[in-house]
Amino acid sequence: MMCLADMKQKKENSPSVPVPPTRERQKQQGKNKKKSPARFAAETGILAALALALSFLESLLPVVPFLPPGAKLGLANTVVMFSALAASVPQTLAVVFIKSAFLLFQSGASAFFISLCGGLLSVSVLLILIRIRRLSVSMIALSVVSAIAHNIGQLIAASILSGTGLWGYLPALLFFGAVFGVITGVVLKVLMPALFKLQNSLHR
Amino acid sequence: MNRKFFSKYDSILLLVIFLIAGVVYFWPRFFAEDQKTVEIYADTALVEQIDCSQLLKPTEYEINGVVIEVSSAGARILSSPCPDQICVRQGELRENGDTAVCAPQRVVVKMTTKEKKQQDAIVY
Repeated sequence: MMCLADMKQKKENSPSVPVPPTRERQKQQGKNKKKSPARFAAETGILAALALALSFLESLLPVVPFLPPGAKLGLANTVVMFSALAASVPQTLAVVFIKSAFLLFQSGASAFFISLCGGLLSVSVLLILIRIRRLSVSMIALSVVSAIAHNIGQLIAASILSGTGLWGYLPALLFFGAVFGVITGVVLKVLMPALFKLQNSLHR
Repeated sequence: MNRKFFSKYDSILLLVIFLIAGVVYFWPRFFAEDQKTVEIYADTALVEQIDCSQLLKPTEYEINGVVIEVSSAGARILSSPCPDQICVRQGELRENGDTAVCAPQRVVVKMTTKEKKQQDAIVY
């Protein structure tokens, strides 16, 4: 997949303006061969670290009394959304996997499985929705749908693990998925320029 | 990224989601039967099935270290050895479909209802 910096470049350089040769060559190379392993690792590492840092930051937030227990904002989802929008598919999957793998050490195998199911369902829905250009799904809708997909994925995983359908949780998960999805969408909107800067700095 | 931030369809999407959430919330409450039953699952198997109306005083059950109190009104998880304590903060389960899960201990407490058995005759 093309990098975002290149896409931006392409836009700025309208057909009338000749593209600088070095950029052009880079672009061609970028199209023909995959990212170098080092850049792949660096980008993925930064994104995964961001996701982990955000989920840690989120755990510091005080418990709000009227929220159902276990409800979380899902700030790390902003990073996953950003990688789905701006990075390649393997990178996005790697971020999701690292984010869940961290839980493996923190709170055990069942938490890892639940988180991974949520993350994978959420990210596949995201990637599909982003690819459908005709729909041009808005950022808020992307965020809301991915949050709900994340919740439903977790619910399915938890149902498999516990052996019973846990559909009693579904209403709360849908409701707070929508509410927090809107919030994370706004957060992503705010974070987007900073994240782009971060990614572009890797291209120098 | 020339993606729109908010489109007019988003409010419809949100409305539909809230509507579905509402329906899923009220569905089991509306179709609840008279006889409250508490089901306790541990390690994917149903281990206890308690008829609430049969209970005269609250009874405690301990499964995988999780202490569950079942009374005629409902059930609650009193304590659990897990670190996050989500199941304990879930509070009392009263209505049909209410669920408390302790994922680390693999215990699920579920409120269900059953149709009250109609007795043909009671002979004393």
